[in-house]
Amino acid sequence: MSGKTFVSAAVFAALFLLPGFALGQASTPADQPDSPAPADTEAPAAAADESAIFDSAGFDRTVAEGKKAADAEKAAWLVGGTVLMDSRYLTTAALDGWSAESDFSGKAFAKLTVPDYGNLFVSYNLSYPVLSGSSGNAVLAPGSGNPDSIDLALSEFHYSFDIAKAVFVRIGKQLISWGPARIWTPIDFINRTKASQLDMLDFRLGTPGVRLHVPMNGSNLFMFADFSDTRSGAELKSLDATTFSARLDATVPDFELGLTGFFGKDTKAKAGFDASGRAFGFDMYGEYAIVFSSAPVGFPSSLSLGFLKSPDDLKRWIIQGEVFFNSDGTGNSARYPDLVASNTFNPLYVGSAYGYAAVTKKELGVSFLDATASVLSDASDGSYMVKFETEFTIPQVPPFDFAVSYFGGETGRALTWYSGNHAITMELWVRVEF
Amino acid sequence: MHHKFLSIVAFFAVLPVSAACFAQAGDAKSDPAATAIVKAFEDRLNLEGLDVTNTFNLVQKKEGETDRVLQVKVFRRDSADTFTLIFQYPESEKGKGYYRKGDDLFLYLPSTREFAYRNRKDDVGGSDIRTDMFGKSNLEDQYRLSLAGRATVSKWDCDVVRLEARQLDVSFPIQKWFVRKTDGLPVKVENYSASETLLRTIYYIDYRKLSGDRFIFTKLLAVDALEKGQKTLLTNDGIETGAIPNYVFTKAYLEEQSR
Repeated sequence: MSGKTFVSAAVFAALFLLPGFALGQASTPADQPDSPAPADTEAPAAAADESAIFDSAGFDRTVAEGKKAADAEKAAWLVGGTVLMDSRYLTTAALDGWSAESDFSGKAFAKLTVPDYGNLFVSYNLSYPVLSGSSGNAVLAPGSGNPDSIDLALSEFHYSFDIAKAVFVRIGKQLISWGPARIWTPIDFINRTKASQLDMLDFRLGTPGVRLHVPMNGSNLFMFADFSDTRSGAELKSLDATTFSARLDATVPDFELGLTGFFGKDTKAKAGFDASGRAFGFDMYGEYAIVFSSAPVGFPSSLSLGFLKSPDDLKRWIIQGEVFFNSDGTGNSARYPDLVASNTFNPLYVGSAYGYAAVTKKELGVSFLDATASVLSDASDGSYMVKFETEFTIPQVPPFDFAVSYFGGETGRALTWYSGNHAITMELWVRVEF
Repeated sequence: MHHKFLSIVAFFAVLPVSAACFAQAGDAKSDPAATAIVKAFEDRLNLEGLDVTNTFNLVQKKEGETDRVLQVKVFRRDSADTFTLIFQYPESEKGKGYYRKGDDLFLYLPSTREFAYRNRKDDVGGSDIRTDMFGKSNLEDQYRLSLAGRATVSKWDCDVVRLEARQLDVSFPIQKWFVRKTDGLPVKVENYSASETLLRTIYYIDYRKLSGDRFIFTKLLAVDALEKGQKTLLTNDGIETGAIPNYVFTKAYLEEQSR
């Protein structure tokens, strides 16, 4: 065994010990309150006489006691979130280099409900690096963070209320989710960062603005005023920089259709159309967006189409696929360094044609194992990723996931930009929701 | 040559008959008397022609633990074989929901914006209630029905109908339904595993009459036979039969409600 290979194996083993500690900690049994509420109803094994079970008044009393106990625990404040303990190990196919990262990341939120006034909501993204290093020919994806502190970023902060249940208002920094696509979302004109179903959590930061929602019979009207360009850091700019978006959706039998528009004084107008519903036993969806630019750019447009289907009775097999066409994209990897330098490089949107396909099998051999095999490809530059992901829900052990991915094509292409060509990653993560 | 010809004819004649016999054994037909009982209560409990909005309050009791309360808003349209469920309480469950359209059932998880396929074996919010309690019932399609005698439940004489699964996507492989003779409505259901171990017993405590000869249960008790002392009490409140907008029966509605 070469020295590099030995170090590589040692780091890999160390990475897997880290989640092991997390598992050990998390599996400590929590204290349980010991106050079983008295039951007026009896199980058949315990009571020969079933008449007591059908005592409606007794049933009501038992329900009322349960609700009372729950009401006592009700709080105006709700605090929750999700934390991922994630360890990644990357090596080349030739095993001539490796990189390793391990970190905590997650989202935490608090919600205050004040009767007659509405809700205040705040959420933060958090990240904390545990380990980061590389050696040899492997590429280490850009990472950041200080091991002496937790990095926090305000994801959302908004106040929401309704006017006579006819108009619903939300003011503040918020994430907007319009459109049905799972991976490529061309009609998402508002969020600065594109959402991706491939991410383990939605780590995007919200957009400051005001959202109005007017539900109507069979349709919905949404309007959003985006204030994010009215200031740049501490520097105030003109209110003219406010942009506006609107969305009207309606349901026709089995299909939901949506029209979305985006405009502003110094901004290129955009329009989008989307549809989702069931046809031929498949869940199908699509989004189409067009930007109204002047010559020589013309009218760049993008289109995503996808489907989801579970072919078996027990819904244990799931197949899904999505394609994305982007007339503004490029397969010319020589342009990527400029895009990276201008911070506009997104491996999932830089190309002009993409495809994604996945097969999931729940309860693969054993009841506690789900597995997904997937392929993601940027057809315009020939790069691709093949991934095999497993999800373990073993009794008495916190749920955890393990995935192996292979990145191929050529070095410096969209999907190999951060990993390198012929790279193999192994990833193990524990997801804690509270 | 003549014998050869006859044997070939006999072979091809016997083949479909044998196949039919095997098919018959594998997919035995339901007993008409049992089917009539099931059809009769399904005609009363299936609410085709009505949109129904209601709220289920579930109180789950477990030995040694405080009661757990769930509140689920239900939108039901049996004519389209669809329903939408939205968790309203506790706050930690808010935003989650189920959407059924025909045979497809999805659970929406707001944290990942994901619609996950589920089947009829899914326990709602970890309670003792399965999702097939919420929508249209079509037991004859899912089970082979047979009469299993008579029994007394509380003070009612009941017909007992035994159900054996025809398909995989069922809430339980074997069930026994105890149907009250006085009004033809079920009062008790025993759920069994494939090896006939009693898993759960459901008691329909009370019903409410809607328009015509249609009923909806208002109080229900689910008793876990494996976990001693574990049971779920369900009340069905705020029942309305006004028209529900089509939009409610879409995935987009669930997603919108979570934001």
